[in-house]
Amino acid sequence: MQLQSNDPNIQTFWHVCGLDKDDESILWTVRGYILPLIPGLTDAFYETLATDPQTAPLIEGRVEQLKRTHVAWLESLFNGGYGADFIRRQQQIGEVHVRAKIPPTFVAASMSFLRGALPDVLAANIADKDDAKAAMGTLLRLFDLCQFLIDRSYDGTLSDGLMGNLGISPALLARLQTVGKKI
Amino acid sequence: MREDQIRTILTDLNGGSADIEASALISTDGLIISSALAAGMDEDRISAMVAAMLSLGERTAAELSRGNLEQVMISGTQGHVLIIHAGNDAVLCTIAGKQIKLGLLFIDASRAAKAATAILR
Ligand code: HEM
Repeated sequence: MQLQSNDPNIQTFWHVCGLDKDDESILWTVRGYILPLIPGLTDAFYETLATDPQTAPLIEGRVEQLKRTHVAWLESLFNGGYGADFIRRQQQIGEVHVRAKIPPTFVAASMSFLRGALPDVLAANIADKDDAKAAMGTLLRLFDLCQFLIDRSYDGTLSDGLMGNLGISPALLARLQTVGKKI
Repeated sequence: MREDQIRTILTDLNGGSADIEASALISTDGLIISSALAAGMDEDRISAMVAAMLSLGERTAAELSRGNLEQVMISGTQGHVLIIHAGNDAVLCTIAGKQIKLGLLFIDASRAAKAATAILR
């Protein structure tokens, strides 16, 4: 996979998590098996959100529309092209969730749901075991990348919004976040 | 050299009154420049908190049209913490006991802040 970002933190994330050319081709190989399963996985995901007292009110009345956007997002992971547009899209999704006042923990929990569902879904539906294993690694990396990019929108609100209002500079915020943490 | 001069300013400030227990000069980013703190005070934590208090005070003064911030004063049952600017990039924090005459605290701390500003410049 070709990284197209000048952001040093994204570059390091990309480098350390190890996304490379093979990841794109493995997803391409397995997409035919996985795409038909996405609506079912999405239904299960929204059923879970609907049973939690904190997430249920946030999705009430728009579950069908949200399922469509969620299906489209999951499909987009298999479409190749993880460059600048892909990165911008994840950040935009983050901004939408910030505006919708979805706490970042709920997004993290949802990613965790998807990560947890992966092994069974992939093992049961991809004939070649090695392909299933490779696809699993790639998808886990992509989920993490997406979550990192989505989470950054919350960081942005914290430092630009809340901290800006309090007059706390980014350098002082970094101090406050790490103070008292002894090596 | 500069460190020694600042350190002297802080020890003089502490020595000026029996009720001044400790003092520290901190950058506005929350890093200790020099300190004369009592044993057991967490330099690292205090420096970040003090810089944050000053930032909050500045923003509050501006928001409420009180002009440029002169000081932030925190008073507890055991004494006071006075936080004032020492130039644009540093903050002087003075920790005093309950018995201190506040007028004296303000004068001594301001004098020390002025002296530190001159050295930092
Ligand atoms: C894996 C985690 C999640 C992903 C990938 C995801 C993905 C998306 C996407 C792609 C959109 C459309 C963004 C756009 O309009 O451009 C969206 C919107 C939305 N999501 Fe999520 N979502 C996640 C978790 C959640 C959770 C946990 C909740 C609530 C509990 C939630 C609630 C919403 C709401 C309310 C909107 C619509 C906001 C609006 O249009 O006003 N999402 N999400």
